[in-house]
Amino acid sequence: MISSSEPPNQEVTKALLDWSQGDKDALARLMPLIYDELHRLASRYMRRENPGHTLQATALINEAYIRLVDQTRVRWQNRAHFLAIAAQTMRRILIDHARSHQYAKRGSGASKISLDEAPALSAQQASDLVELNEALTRLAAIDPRKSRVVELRFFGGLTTEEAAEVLQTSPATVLRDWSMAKAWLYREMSRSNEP
Amino acid sequence: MNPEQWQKIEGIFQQGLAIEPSRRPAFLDNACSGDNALRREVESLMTAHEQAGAFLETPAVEQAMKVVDAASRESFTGRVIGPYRIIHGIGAGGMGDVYLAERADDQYRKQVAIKLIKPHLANGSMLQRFHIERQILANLDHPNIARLLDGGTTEDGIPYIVMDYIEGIPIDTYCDQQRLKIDRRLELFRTICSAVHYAHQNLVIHQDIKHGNILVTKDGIAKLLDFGIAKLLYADSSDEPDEASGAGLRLMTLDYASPEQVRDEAITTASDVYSLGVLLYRLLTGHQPYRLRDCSQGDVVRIICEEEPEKPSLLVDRLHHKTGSNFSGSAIAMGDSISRARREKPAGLRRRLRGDLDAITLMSMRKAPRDRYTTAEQFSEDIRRHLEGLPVLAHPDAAGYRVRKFIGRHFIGVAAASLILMTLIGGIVTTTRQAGIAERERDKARIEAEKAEEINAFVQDMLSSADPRSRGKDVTVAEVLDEAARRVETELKDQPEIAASAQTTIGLTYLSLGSYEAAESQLHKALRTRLQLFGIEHPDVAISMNNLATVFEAQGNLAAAEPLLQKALAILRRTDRGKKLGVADVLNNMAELLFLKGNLSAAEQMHREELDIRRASLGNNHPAVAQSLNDLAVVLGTKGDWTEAEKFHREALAIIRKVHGPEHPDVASALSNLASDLVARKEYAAAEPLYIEALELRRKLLGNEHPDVTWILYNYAMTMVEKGDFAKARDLARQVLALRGKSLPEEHPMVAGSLLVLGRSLMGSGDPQNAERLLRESLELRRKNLPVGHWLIANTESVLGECLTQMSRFHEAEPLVLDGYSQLRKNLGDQHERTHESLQRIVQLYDRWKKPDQAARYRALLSKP
Repeated sequence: MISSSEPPNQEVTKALLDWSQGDKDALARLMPLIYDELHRLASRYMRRENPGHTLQATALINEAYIRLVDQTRVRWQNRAHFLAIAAQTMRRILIDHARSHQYAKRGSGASKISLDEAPALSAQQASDLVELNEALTRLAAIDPRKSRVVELRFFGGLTTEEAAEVLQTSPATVLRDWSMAKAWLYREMSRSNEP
Repeated sequence: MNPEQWQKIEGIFQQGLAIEPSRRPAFLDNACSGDNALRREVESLMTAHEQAGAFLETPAVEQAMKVVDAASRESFTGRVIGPYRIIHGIGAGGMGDVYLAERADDQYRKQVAIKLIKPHLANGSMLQRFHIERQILANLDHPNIARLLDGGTTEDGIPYIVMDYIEGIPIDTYCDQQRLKIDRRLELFRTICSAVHYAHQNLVIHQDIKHGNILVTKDGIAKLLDFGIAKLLYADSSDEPDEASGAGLRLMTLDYASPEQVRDEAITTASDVYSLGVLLYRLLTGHQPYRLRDCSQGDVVRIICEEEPEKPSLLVDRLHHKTGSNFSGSAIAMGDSISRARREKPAGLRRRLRGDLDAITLMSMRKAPRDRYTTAEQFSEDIRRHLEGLPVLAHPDAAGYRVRKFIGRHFIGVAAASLILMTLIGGIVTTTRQAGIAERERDKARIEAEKAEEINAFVQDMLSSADPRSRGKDVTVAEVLDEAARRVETELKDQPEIAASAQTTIGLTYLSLGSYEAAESQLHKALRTRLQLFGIEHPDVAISMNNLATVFEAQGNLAAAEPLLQKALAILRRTDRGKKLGVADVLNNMAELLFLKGNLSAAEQMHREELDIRRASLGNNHPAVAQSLNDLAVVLGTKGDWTEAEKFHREALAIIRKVHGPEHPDVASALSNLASDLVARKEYAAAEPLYIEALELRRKLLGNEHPDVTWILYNYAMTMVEKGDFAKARDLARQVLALRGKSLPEEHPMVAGSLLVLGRSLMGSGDPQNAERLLRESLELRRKNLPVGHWLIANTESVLGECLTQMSRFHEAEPLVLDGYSQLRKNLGDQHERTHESLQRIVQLYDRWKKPDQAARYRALLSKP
């Protein structure tokens, strides 16, 4: 692959350390850096063109972490912070895109060499995501931890164990939160879809 | 909702989930104790939980990645790549996204299409191939080919290709929109054929011809896109067999893939002819020949390789009459719209396609490459004949014979040249790898790789600039190589190391073509240069010696080969501290030489050492291991250990088939060798079909006069003598001898052997007078070229003795049969077939000479176990 031997990004490592030590501005610096990395990973993963191969979400974020963060300088909790921010970043990417493309019409009449181009999200997917995001925000007002469990697992693709690590709780608690949050969100979204 | 309420709800919800569904109402009654709102809340959540199923269970990562990816594509607008500025995206394909761009320097406004190659396709070897072939592709200048203008790598490492920007629509859509009649479609199709043929003459295979790759401009001119790009991207990288296998298949458009493509076999110009056939099928019928959607990969391969496509005329008829169950109720509409788009009535369209066009289309799509049109031009010409009302080549009944004859005459041209091109590259990779093994540091390996790239570039340049057009169609591979050899001397004068590698490659290619003299000359030059550069203690020098010795061995000049091999082996044993694969290569040649000299025990020992080395570092499923097994088996067989030999030969054949598939030169060798084990056990009937299969395979792959074809003929001839089928043996031996002084050197061991076979056949059919002459000539050759006491000399003497016995010249026969027996016994042992036969000849002699005492003495030896 083209650029697998770059050293971990010191900027990311520092921002992560700052953020874990209470520097709130560090988050603003971190997200674009992580976004860039996801960008790179995305083009690699998406262009594999291997329909039988499902994307290993956990592998993806962990790869980003290994590439971005200097392992010698951070304590293990930093990995949890990183995973949390990555999941948040993924949520933002998806929702921003879904919002902006929800009602947009597909591109102009440029002649196509090949016709197999498809939009990244279908209209249905886009509106579902926007709706889920709103429901999740309402859930956060009632039970912030449940909302984060969903963010970590659904948007970040984290495993139960990783989510527990991020939230500093037990996997059993994460599983209980997950089943309750899922039921609550499902009910919310079914209600709003009723005529 | 306050936190207490929420906690209460969750508590009951979680407890409820843990309870068996039938007992939940009772539990809820109790837990909610009359609070109806609470109960409704919990109940609705539990229902939602039951219904939610897979909801949210699949992380949205995949969608997120798609989004990020799409965003990155949009962000390319306005970017500058080389001298070009991207205007907007115009499409996405299997290989990468395509953008419209224009020159950024505003010197003149030329719009181009830029294809950014998907990063995962752009590994090191692709970039290397790209670098090499860019020039060849850029030189393709034809009115129906969208030209490759430029290429390079963006700042962030993404390779890109710049092509003519073609404003047009895919050919099938164009034909239907314009409602082109069949004749007009055929004319348009012929322009595509001419583009493909032109590229083939320039040694470029398209490999991805499909309707989406052919755009028709508003002026009605068809332009073929992406020439040579597929090969650039999908060519196997021999270092990563697992990753490479199937990569081509996965990215290829299966609708247009030929049987050899889906089976991952060698792709030639005939593969393009097949894809053109599929295109024609679509232009004529509006459909693909096969329905491959929703099929498993296994089914796709089976359908493409085995099922005959429906005749175009039958397909349009079926669509019209709605008889096919495969198509839905819209069949009539489909059938009608197809004929309407061709300005025909359904029945008229069927009649138009029936006959010639059915035959032409199906001929181009035959399963076996050799059964298709030989060239795109021939395909096109047949269509022309059809358009002019002349009889066409393709006709279901008569086709086979005439076409095969034609192919026999013309096949060597273009297709062989492109095969050789691949062989050359393979050769370089092998040579480089051998050198790389000898050196331990990774830096050196990298330098080797860079060197290989330069050599590749050079040889490729040679091949492309040999310009087949300037010499008519039948430019031979030898001519291309000659030109390359000549230019190495002048153009690489200042880079002796690279010149030596290029000469090695060219020399080995000559060797593989059986041009021994030219091979020797090239390899000699390479050796000399390397000696000057490195001194004698260097693995490259040893490898050069080994290469040269291989040529001498192939020519039967063992005296010249032996000292070279001894030296090479000694040097490599000292300098190769790696996996010793170079040592194994030399051991192999040395063992072969010892075998040819008749020193079987030493040969066996060397082959065993070589086999151990190769197995240890290459694993079991490797062609080199198969080669060792095979060669060892030959030695064992010659020693008379047929059972052991057969075991190793079968193991070798299995490995070769697994590694190379059924149609490979090595399969032929393995078949032939296995046959000789069976022959040794007198299982002639079982051996004959193996020889025939091997002979057919080699003739197909190498042509009629190749020395490897001769070897099979020769062995087959020997077998027929043993079997007592003298007529067949005579015929085969004469075929071998006809090549004497042409592709077979005057004094090649096979010449002596064939003379012996011919002599024995004549003896067998009662013509000892002529047999004697041939046998004496054989003996003379053997004595001249083999060391005193060699068993082959002894065997020939013994046979000559038999011949003289037949003519009752007993005095002359006696020393020959006695001497032959004693030498054979010494060399091969008492139990060997040849020893046994020579003993029988003694008995026969004394019987006919009426010397019963002597006869009885030798007969007693015969009956001993």
